[in-house]
Amino acid sequence: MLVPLLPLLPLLLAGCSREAPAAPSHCAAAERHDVLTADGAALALHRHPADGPPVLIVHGISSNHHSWDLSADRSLGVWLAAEGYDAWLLDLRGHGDSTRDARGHAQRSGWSVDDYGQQDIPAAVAHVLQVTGAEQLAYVGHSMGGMVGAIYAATVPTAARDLSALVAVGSPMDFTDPDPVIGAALQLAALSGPLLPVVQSPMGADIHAAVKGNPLPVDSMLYNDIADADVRATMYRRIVSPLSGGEMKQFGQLREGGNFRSADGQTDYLEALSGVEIPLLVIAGRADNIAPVDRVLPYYQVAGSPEKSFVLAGRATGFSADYGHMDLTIGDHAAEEIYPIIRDWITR
Amino acid sequence: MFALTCIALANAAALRDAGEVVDGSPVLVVVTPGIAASAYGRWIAAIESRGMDAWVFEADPASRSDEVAAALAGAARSLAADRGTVRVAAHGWGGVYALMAGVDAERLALVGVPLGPQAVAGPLSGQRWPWETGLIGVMPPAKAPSGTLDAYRAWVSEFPLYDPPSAPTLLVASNMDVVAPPEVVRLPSAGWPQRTWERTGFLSLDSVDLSHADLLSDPGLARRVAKFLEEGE
Repeated sequence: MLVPLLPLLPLLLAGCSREAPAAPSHCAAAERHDVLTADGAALALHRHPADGPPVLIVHGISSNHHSWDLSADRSLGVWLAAEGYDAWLLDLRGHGDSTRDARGHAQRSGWSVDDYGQQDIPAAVAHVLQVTGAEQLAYVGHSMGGMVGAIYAATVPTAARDLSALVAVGSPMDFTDPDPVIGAALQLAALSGPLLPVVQSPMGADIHAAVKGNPLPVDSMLYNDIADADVRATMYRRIVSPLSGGEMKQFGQLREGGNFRSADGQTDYLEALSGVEIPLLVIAGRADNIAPVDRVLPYYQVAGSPEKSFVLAGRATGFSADYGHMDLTIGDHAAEEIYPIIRDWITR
Repeated sequence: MFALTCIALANAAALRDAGEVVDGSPVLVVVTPGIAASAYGRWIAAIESRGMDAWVFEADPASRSDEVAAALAGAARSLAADRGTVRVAAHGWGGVYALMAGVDAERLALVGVPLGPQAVAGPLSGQRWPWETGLIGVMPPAKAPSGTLDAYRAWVSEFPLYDPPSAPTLLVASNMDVVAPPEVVRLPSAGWPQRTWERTGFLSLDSVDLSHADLLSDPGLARRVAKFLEEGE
């Protein structure tokens, strides 16, 4: 969700510290687990328990676990649990319910996207496997969550042992030939990242939610298949989380184009996927303007996984709608069309 | 709108001088077999408004797919012999024919032209085009050469061989174009020596993502095609 929010940066910067929104009622039955990473960050995991195999579900940038769990009928966690899967939704450090460390101090900055893949995910995976006693889990990531999955799969040695499947949904890895809007957003990220410890995106999202009946251009970037204005307002209020300066700086390095790389520029994560053999499902949305199909497809093409599949969610490929970025996780047809594809892949 | 000027071709394909300009740099406008030449009116007007001379190529309705490409190659050679090096403007499958023909062009503008098979074929329509009109948009039809509609259907999953053009080439695609979405334009052309890539739509601050048919009728895009072709003069 980085790109559409960056043009609103001046508005967003008007904000100040903001607590995560209260959990919605449909999450009351979910368990909360607190996990510490090896480098000392605190993470919240939200579990929708069931007896089946565990699935770790990860959100994207400037988001939190509600991007996969907005309401009872728009929740991969609830849906998978009803299908018998033990669903665990993660809030990466600084997002959602992971905004404070173990001592109660704010976790606001000081990390990069690399840290999500190399610190947060290993800690979450270890916790889930330890609690459930399972030998492996399936990983599902949306947008940056899928990119974080690539970092984990390509650079953490235990990933090949611990993951039974990797699912990347709307996750761009190829930033070559930058488009004007993306290029401008990345340029802004490059300028802002080193200067700002955190960007309070939720303040801007709240304001946008208040004008739910009057969509702004940013809406065209985010969704194409969420008809109910109340759902859209809830999406803005509940999902949007602060951006950290470190992740903005890392994305800002892509302003000249190229593949998604590590913060130090030394690792080309797209290229590194060629060494990944974990069974892989990649899903792209035809109307996704955050992660257009041509920026997601290389994830599938480059991965070394002997067993891999690519799904293009659009009307021309038999879906009910041309899926936008958030439609893939919480859109009007996600539960009917996207969730079963994910289930079938991790069950295969 | 077409002038009477014609260049005789060895087969029944038609190459006609369109518009008013008669002495500018020749631009070969490749009409996609199955689409009426009238659909290219905006392109022709935009090209001629910049002082270039638009020539329209239309395939013989009795031709097979490979014959269309051969006729187009012949038309380009004839036009070049008569008027000098040509520039090419093509939309959709017409651009595929231009690539198959290996037209020796000074510049090419390829708009909504697929450069490879679809990433996911999906279910194809049983109607005229591989996809339903609701997805592809409305384009004025013309009698289609035998086999070309079948070729369009086949190209969804198996693409003809061609050599990447060495001349400066403008490639325009839209996220909502089912015929030539960006993944079958930008990615296959990554190694082209002189390509200019442009994605229309929200990501370029446009107000809408254009359909395949919209790419041919959009006035702004017609001007963009003409401007690109004029550059280098």
